[in-house]
Amino acid sequence: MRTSKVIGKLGFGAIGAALMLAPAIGAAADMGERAIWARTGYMNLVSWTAGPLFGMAKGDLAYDAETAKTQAELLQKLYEYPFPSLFVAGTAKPDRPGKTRALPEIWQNPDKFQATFDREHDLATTLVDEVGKGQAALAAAVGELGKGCGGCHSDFRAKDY
Amino acid sequence: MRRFLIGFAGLCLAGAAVFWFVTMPRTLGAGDLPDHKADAEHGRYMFYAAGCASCHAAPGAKGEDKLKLSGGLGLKTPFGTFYAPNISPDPADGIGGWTGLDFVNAVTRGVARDGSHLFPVFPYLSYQRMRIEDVLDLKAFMDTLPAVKGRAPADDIPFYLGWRRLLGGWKFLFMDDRPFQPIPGASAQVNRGAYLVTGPGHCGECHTPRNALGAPREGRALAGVAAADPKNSVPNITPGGDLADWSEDDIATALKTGLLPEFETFGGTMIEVQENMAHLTDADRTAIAAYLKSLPPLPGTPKK
Repeated sequence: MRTSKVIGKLGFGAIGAALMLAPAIGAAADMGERAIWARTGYMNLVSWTAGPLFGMAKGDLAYDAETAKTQAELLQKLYEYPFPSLFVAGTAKPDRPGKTRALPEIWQNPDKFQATFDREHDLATTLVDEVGKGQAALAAAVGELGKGCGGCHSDFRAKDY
Repeated sequence: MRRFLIGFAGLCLAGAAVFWFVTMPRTLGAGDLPDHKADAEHGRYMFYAAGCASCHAAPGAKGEDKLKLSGGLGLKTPFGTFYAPNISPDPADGIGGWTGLDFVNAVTRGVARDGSHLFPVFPYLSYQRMRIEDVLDLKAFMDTLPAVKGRAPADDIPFYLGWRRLLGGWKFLFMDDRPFQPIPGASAQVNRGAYLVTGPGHCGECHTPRNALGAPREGRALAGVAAADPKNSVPNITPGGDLADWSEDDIATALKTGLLPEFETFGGTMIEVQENMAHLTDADRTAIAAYLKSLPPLPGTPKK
């Protein structure tokens, strides 16, 4: 075969391979992005649900046992979602600058990450029992929950994007 | 040659005299104390405002044990490790028998009862701003605490620092012996915050970067200290730093509960500080916040 034809066939081959692989590569990039989108949304929902509880703990919102119980139960349900599974490979902050604050520690210490999340679930369960017992009990339990949020963030979440 | 030697000896003598005079401990006399009836209850409040237990209780003490001021905590500095002494009312191992005047001189002048200089790791550079009445109240409270036996280990420092007279020179350079000066034009609230922060709160002892001699850098008050390991960095708490986005309410809430904006919490040594700040009134925490927000922004936030 003449050289120019070999080059031509190789060229077509390369383009063909790229076209076939592109959806797979694109899908992988897409998957990571969607996982980031999902887990950010999840955390926003946790914040939204816990909001009234923090408000009552601080005294910005009037204490109401019914509302507090409802929010605490929702929060407990949220913590049953396997949140750590949303941290798919290749989506740490160094991989996706500007998109996520997830630190590589999550992938280096997956057991610790899971245990920290499980503990938060336990704190939310305690919360359900405590919030009905008055503002002081609510404030104490919310304080513990908040310390749990902060503990996980200080280990696994960067300060900025 | 002989004349030269005599002249040289004279110069040495003169130099020694200057050194001796400059490094002399400057203390208050009994006549300098105000006519004040010490209030131990208010002294308890000052105990938390000044954070005495954080250094002087036994390392790892919790709850009621924090009132047993046995000392022993080691503070690592670039000059060596200093061990906080026993300041319980024990007469042999603590400061039992110290008068109010002795205590005021230690806290606000950094001079021990025996006349020796104290190392500025004891934050008298901040405590020099405290009102003498507040220090006397603190003494009255500390007199009610349990007497604890035992002494802290000796400081692990280079031999030359053992000559405490040298600290007189350090004080000559870096202490101004001035009481708290209210900021002209600032509100009573901001001034209360300024007093708490620059005096008993001694926030700058951690949050202000230091020069090679271990003294606070001019013009960098509360601007934070960067460290190689982000976990050892101390934040810039002027409006030019991490607190730029925080409201006054955010700061006051953080000091009260340890919960920060964005579902963060205090870590490291700030946890103990917050536990002390939790004992203050809402008004005082808000005053601290108001003062911090009123500061001119200084750059230099250490990166995480």
